[in-house]
Amino acid sequence: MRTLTEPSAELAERLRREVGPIERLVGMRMSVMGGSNPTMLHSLPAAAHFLHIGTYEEAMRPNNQETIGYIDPLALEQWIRGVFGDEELADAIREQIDTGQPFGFIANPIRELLQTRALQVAPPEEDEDGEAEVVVAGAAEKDSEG
Amino acid sequence: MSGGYTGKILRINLTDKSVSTLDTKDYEEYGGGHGMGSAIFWDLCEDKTVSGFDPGNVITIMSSPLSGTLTPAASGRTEVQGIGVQGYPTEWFTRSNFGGRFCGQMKFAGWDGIVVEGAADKPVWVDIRDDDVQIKDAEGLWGLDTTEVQEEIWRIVQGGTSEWRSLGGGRDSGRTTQRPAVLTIGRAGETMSRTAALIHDAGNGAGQGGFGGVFGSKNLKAISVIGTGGVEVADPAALMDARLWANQYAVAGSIADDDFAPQSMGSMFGGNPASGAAGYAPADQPKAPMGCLGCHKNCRARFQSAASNGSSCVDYFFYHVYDQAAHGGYTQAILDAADLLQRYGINSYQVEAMIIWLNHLYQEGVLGKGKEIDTELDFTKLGEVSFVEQLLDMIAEKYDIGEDLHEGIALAAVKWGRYEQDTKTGILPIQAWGYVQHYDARTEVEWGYGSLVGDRDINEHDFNTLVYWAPSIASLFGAQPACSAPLLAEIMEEKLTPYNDPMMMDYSDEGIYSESMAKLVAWHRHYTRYYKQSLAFCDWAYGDFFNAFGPDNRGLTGEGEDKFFNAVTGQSQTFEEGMEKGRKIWNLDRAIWILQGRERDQEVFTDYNYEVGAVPGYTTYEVPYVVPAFENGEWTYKSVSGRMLDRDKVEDWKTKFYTLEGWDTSTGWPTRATLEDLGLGHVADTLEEAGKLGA
Repeated sequence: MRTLTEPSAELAERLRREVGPIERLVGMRMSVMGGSNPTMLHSLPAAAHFLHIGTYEEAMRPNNQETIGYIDPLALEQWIRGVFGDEELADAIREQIDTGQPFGFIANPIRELLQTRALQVAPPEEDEDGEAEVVVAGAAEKDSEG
Repeated sequence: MSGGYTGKILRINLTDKSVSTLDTKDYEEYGGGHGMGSAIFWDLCEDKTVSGFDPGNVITIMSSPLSGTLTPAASGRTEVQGIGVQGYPTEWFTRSNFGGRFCGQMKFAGWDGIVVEGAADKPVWVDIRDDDVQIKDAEGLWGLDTTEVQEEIWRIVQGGTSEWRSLGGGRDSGRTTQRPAVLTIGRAGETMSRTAALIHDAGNGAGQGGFGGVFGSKNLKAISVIGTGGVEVADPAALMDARLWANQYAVAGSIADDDFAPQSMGSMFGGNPASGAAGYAPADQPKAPMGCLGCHKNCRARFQSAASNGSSCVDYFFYHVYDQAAHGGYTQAILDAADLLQRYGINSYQVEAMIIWLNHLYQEGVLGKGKEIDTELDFTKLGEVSFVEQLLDMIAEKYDIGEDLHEGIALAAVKWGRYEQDTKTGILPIQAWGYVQHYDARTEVEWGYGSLVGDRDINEHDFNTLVYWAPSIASLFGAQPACSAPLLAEIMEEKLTPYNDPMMMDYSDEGIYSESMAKLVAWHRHYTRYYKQSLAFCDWAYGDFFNAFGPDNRGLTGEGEDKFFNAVTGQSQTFEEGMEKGRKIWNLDRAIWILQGRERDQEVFTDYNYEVGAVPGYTTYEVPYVVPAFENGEWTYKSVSGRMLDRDKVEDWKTKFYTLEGWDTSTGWPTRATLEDLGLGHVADTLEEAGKLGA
């Protein structure tokens, strides 16, 4: 998987913004018990958090109460390229699509790309000591499904 | 009286505070649960056209002969019926259902069910201790949330002890260590919300139908029941043998967990104790599986912290993506949100759709502070517990936009002038009758059709996993599901008696309008009405068609259900006979809807089902919908994403379905011949008097 270079300040600014209803991306939260429901995604971190699928074994587990965060990879690529103008990230996603592997195998690599970019452009926030630190909005990643 | 029944049904009139009994034997032909409930409603509800809030509405809370026995995944479900207040545009006679241990305690106390009539003039609760039934003042309980009221009733009944207690000269030993099982409402029910739920213990709720609001209209805060007896099983040895026999269909420890998962999806009866909702807990929350009375699956979770105990499914799904978006992962917020939902006693499925829809309107600038739909609801807090608390409080206490949402999502949309346009685009995915889409009528048609010719979102997963989930998830990994399309058709041909038509599994663009699809929907209506809703076999374990562990991959449905029923009751019922009882109950329900005004022309989906693909234009791309299809002489799994329903073809399908059911194809009303064939001649008489008998 390609390594993403540091984005320019201008690109970082674009990637930090929340988009409106016209430009948003819609993911589908799929769950066996509850059905499938659209989820509006208005930012890069939101997409990075949402996109998810477990292993085949986990996804096929009987009595499954887990969910799949489905985003069409092509729609995601177009969103990153068209709405945010991040050609490098879009190309990296495209590379994953071009492997020809189905969603279940490329979703998590794409998620890693999104998370990496989200961290690169995260605004610095001051900690308790007044020192600046980089955080992704709400991205205290946990080892959970999501 | 057969085994499994206590022999009597408790009848409570809240208007005159009288308590009497019905003989179970008078209704035994209906099996139990839903069937008995429908028959009792038919007999006791004098005017079936009244509002669900009218004191004349009759509510039944029924067990089955299997309740409180060792029957796996059939011991702990309680069926609730009556005129619901959620339906739009008509408040249909409807049903809901909840798990836990209420029906078990009801049986142990000597009652097969509870019938509630009338309305109290001030808040009351019902205290049932074996044969002792008292209607008590609920002044001290009114205003409490659903957790608080249960704790208070436990304190009142138990006196704060968890030791052996005697309830006097009851059956058997007359003693128990159990807490009373309490069915209660929260603030949303007290204020008569159409989206209020009935809550029992933790994580058990009857949400759909708005029965919490109906309880509120009757000034009924709670029903508490505790019993010290048992359930007389006709042949205990046969029941134990049946349970041991059924082990072959569960994982039973014979296959390592890591090995069985991929091939076992769709094996409804199988599965080890599940992680339940544990997957949504913060990683540092210790938890253990938990389940309903007598269940072998335990599909829920109990947390050491007690937060959200027993919650599962939409209790979490309604908010977990927002928690995740706000915090980067699942946090305590998701547990607290689930708790709040239940404490207020609000239908989680409505709230889930509500938040999606409201957020959509907010993003479009239609809803918000100073907007067309003016609200103080703070969307900057979406993902925080405070957002959920603000929204639920608005609904329960009827202020701000909550005053409209209190009436349910459909009526709120009507009041805001959004109903037509938002059900046309699908951003408000009400499929039919005011119920939001659960599974997609355009793709998984048996679900949509079943809801359309019924009264509510069916929420019956019998075919869902096999025809949609397993192939769709497999497609995401480029794999084939364990049950191939030809095998699926073969198994269903064997299992779906009396139709036994493999083409029932054809979800192709032609197949979804076929007579075979009419047979599938009819089979589903009849099976669920009897086996799942009357005998109370759990939706999350039955029907079991394909099973990774069963002989030749066959599940236990068609054999197992009656094995258990006959062991408990001592009867010798065949599956065919059971299915016929289901058809009878289904037709009785149909007759009630017809008296309420149901006609063929009303049975149409909302516009988005015909005009918007599933779901391009909305999501801008197609989502995975892979289903079985018979095309070019072969069975295969194919993607039907983006499919829309054809109005004319749906109408043709309805004609096929009505014909199959023996209903007048111009009105959708059952004919006398159909009803008399089912032993429902008295129902035909009533329909004829009302001028609503099919020709």
